[in-house]
Amino acid sequence: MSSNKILLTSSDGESFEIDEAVARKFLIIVHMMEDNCAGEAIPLENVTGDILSKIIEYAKMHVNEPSEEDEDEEAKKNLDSWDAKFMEKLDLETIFKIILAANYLNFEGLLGFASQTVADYIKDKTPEEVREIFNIENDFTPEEEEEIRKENAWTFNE
Amino acid sequence: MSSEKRVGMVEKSNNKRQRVNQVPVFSINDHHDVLVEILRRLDGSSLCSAACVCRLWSAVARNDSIWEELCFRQVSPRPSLSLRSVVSALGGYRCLYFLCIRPVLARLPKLLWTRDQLQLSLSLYCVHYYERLYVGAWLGDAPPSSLIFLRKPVNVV
Repeated sequence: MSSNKILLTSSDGESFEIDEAVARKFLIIVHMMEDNCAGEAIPLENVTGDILSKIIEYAKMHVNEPSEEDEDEEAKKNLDSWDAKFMEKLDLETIFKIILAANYLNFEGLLGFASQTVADYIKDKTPEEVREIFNIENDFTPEEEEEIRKENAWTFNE
Repeated sequence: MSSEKRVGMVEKSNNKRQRVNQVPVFSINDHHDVLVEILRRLDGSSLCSAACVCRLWSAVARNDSIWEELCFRQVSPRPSLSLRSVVSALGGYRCLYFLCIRPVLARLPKLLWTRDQLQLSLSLYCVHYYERLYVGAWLGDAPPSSLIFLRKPVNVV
């Protein structure tokens, strides 16, 4: 009973068979299972195969999440290092898609981690640099922009 | 929503037309949830920068719960939720941050932000509020805030 396999199907028809313990990281699936979808393939309409495979890869690594009181520093460091390498390989667009999918799947751990990765990316950047990164248009009028910048000036000397 | 190639004309607010690239682009502004998740995790100065990016970001950055989280991020244990209604009545967390916390952190960026510092900020915030309310009303004109000392070094010798 404890090594049940769950079948997930992505929006583009890819199937993934994973252990129930891993699937339970996705709260949306926990709810579906409680509502009696267990044993059948679970369709995930909002997630494509490529993104789902990345998410499952992450979930498998984190299936035995160390608790706060866990003394195993070595294991934590290894996991952090794995996490960092996992994100490093991904471009920004993929990370966004992962955030969206993790939000949909209700996978708190990855949602937090991926969001923090993007936040770290724009940390300490100027508004112009941030616009460049996300391809955002500046839709302020010059007067609005002046006012907003004054309001949000971090220091009074710069 | 699958990403598709799209060509479109985007009208800027000052009436210039710009051709959108023929490349699948993930537009963060189409995903409000994602934007909130990211802004929630920024530090104060980065959040202030983010508010200057565009109108949507400015609006999202005004979300008081983001500033509440920022105020409490390094404070442990977390203050009780009843604090929220008090701070809201005084003007909200964003105001608290801008008035009492930002000037201090801008001048002392390495300051460890703990419960004591937060308590002190809250007290100062109350001072500021009542000053505006009572002293301002009495004098008929808003006096300079006592909190001006947070921005300028004070010689205490």
